[in-house]
Amino acid sequence: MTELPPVYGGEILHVHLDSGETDVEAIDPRDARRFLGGNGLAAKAVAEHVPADAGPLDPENVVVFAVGPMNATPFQSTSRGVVGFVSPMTDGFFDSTFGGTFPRAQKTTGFEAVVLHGAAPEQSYVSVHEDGAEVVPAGDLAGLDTYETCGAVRERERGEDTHVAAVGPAGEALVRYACLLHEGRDREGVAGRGGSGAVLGAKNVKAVAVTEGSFEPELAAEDDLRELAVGRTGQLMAETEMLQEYGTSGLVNPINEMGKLGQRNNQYEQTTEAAAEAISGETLAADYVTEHTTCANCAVRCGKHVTVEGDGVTDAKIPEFESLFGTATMQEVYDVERVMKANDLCDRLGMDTISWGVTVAFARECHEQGLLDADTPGVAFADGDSQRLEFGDAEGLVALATATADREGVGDALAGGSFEIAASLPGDDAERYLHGAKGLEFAAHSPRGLKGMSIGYATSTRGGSHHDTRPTRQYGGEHDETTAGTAEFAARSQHFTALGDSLTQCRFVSESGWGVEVNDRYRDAVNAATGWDLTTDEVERIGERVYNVERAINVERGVADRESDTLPHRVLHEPIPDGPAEGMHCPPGELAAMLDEYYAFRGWSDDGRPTAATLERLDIADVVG
Amino acid sequence: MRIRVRAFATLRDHLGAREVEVTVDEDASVRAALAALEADYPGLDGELLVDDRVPSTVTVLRNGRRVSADEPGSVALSAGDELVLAPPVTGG
Repeated sequence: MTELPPVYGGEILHVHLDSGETDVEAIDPRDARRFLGGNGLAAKAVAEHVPADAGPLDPENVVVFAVGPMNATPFQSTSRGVVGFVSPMTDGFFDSTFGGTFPRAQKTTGFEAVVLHGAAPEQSYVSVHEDGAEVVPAGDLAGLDTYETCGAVRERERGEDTHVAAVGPAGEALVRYACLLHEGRDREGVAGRGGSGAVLGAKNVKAVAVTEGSFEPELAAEDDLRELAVGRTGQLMAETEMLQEYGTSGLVNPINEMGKLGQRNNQYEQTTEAAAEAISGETLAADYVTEHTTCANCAVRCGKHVTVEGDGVTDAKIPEFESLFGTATMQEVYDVERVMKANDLCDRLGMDTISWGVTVAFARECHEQGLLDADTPGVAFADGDSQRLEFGDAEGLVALATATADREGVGDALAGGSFEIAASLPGDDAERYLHGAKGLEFAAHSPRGLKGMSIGYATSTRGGSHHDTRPTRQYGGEHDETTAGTAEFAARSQHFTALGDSLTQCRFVSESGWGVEVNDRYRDAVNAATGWDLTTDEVERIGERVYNVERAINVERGVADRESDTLPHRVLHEPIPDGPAEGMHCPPGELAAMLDEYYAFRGWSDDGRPTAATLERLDIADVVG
Repeated sequence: MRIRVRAFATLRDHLGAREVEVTVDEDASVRAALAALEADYPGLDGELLVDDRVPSTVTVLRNGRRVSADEPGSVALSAGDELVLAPPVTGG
C-alpha cells in the first residue's frame, strides 16, 4: 500500500492560467486507493482547491480533467474522461464525463489529472503534453465553433496526435450550461452537463489540447484482466445490439411506450406512436445515419453521424436519446430534421442539449401561461420571439439555439437556464413549471414514473442528472413503482456511478457487460489492474466515499440539505395524466419518507449532512472534515 | 384472438416488420404469444424465450407495462391487448 501501482501515471499537473506556470503533484498512494481516479480525484481536487465562498465563474474555481487508472488498457471502454468543477448551474460540485480519444491521450502523458487554476489574462488555449503544459494566447479563436476550434488547435499543435476539447461561442458568452465538445479521430465526446464550458469561458480558456505521450500503464495481472474482459464480451455485445445499430436514440420508442417520456414541458408523458416514430432511432437509422462511430477501445460503436441533405447538417453527431427528449418531445416538435439541426447547432455553439431544451420548454410554458412575454419586466424580446416560444414551433426552436448563444432577444434569458428565469420573473408562479433539481434541468428519465429517479434526482449531488442514480434497473422493473427499499437502492446506485466515473468506464459498457451494481467482477478487475486485494464491499466504499466528498462540498457551499433535496411542483403535485403510468407522481409525504430512509442509510443527519462519524468511517475527514 | 405486436430497433429487424398480428387462443398467456411469434417469424426463433423466460436481451411490454421476464406464462392476454418487443431499456 506504500507504492502507487504502475497502472497509474502517477502525477497531477497543476496549470496556473494567470502566469502560465505549472507544478506537478505526486499522487499519494493512499489517495489512489481511497479515490481511485477520474471522479474521485476530481472531487478531492475541488474540495482542496476551491474556497467555499468562491463563485463558479470566479478565478478561484478550478477545472479538473481526470482519467481512470485503467484508461488505455485492455479493460473495455475505460476510455472516458471526467471534467470536475463547481457548476454555474448548481453552485455545487459537478463532474461531467466524455468519451472519444482525448482521455486516452491524456493517460499517455502520465498526468492522471490536469487542474486548471485561475484565469488567463487573454483568450488562450492550454496545451498539455508529457513534459507539462503551456498557456497559449489565441485571441484569433474567438467566435469559432467547437469543431472549428478543435481543428484549428490541432493544426497549431501536433495534428492527429493532438486531441482537443473546445468551448464554443456559448461558453465565451457565459451561457450557464455551456459545454465542452471534443472532436475525436472518429467520434465526438461531449462533456455536456453542468456548465464546464462557461467556467472555462470565464477563465478565458477556449480549448484544452492534449498531445499523446509515451506513458504505458502496467497492469498487475494483465492476463487476468484480459481474461475477465474477454469473458464479458459475449454478454456485452448481445445486450448492446440496439446501441450498436441505433445508438441511444433507440430508446425513444420503448420509453414512450411505457408512458414515461416527458412531452410539452412534462405536461404529459406519452405522445402518439407516429410522433415517437418520427423522431426515433429507427427513423434516424433508416433515413439519416451515414456512419457508425466509436470511442477509443470500444467495440460497441454507439456513436453515429447523421446528414440532412440541403440543410447544412453533414455528418453531424446524432442526437442522443436525452437530447431528443430535451429538443423534441419536451417542445412538442416531431420534425426530426429541424431537431437534428437544433442539436447540431447546440453541439457547434457548445451548449448542453438537455438544459437548453428543457429551459426552452419551460420558457414556452411560462409564455403560454402569460408569465413570459414582451412586456415582462427585465426580459428582452426580439421580433418574433413570441412565436418562437410557442410549443410545436420547430423553426423557432432552431432560431432560439443561435439566439441563446448570441444572447439576443429572449435568448439572453434562456442563457441563464430555467431556474434563473424562474427566479427573475415576478411572483413564484413560474416555479410551478420547472423540471429539474438543485438548479439543473432533469434528463429524460421520469421523476414521476420511476420512483428510484424521484429520490435519486432529489438527492443527486449534480441535481437533475441521470448518472447519479441510474434508471436502467428501474426500466427492468426494480424500484420503478414502489418506494420499498428504493431509498437504499438510490444511494447504492449513486455508489455504483461514482465508482464507474472514477474508473472512467463507459456506463453502457459497464451496465451491459459487467453489471448494474458493484459486484465481484468490478472487484476482480480493479485488483487485477492495481495488485490490491480489495473486497467487493471495499470497492463499493470507494463510490460511497466519493459521493460523500461531493455531498460535503455541497453542504459546505450551502447548496445541499433537506430543504434543497426536493423535487419540482409538477412532480410533487400533478400525477401523470394518462397512459400506462397514469396517476404516478411523488407526493411530498412520500418524498419525505424516502429522504428519512436515505439519510439513515447513509449515516447523515436528519438535515442531510454527513456526520463526523460517517466522514471518519469513510476515511475522508482530512479532505472535507 | 388476434394480438397486435409492434417491435422496436433490433427486434424490428429480427421480426422483419414494424408490426404484425399474432393469433393465440382465448386466455392465452404472453408466453404463448411469444412462442407463436417465434414459430411464425424465423428471425425471432430463439430470441424471445429461453427456458420459458424472456432473455435479458429483450423487453416485452403488454399495453405499455413491462412483463416480468421470469413469468411471461403467468400474464394472461385479453382481446385488444397489444405487445411491444424491444431491446433492453437502459438509462441513456
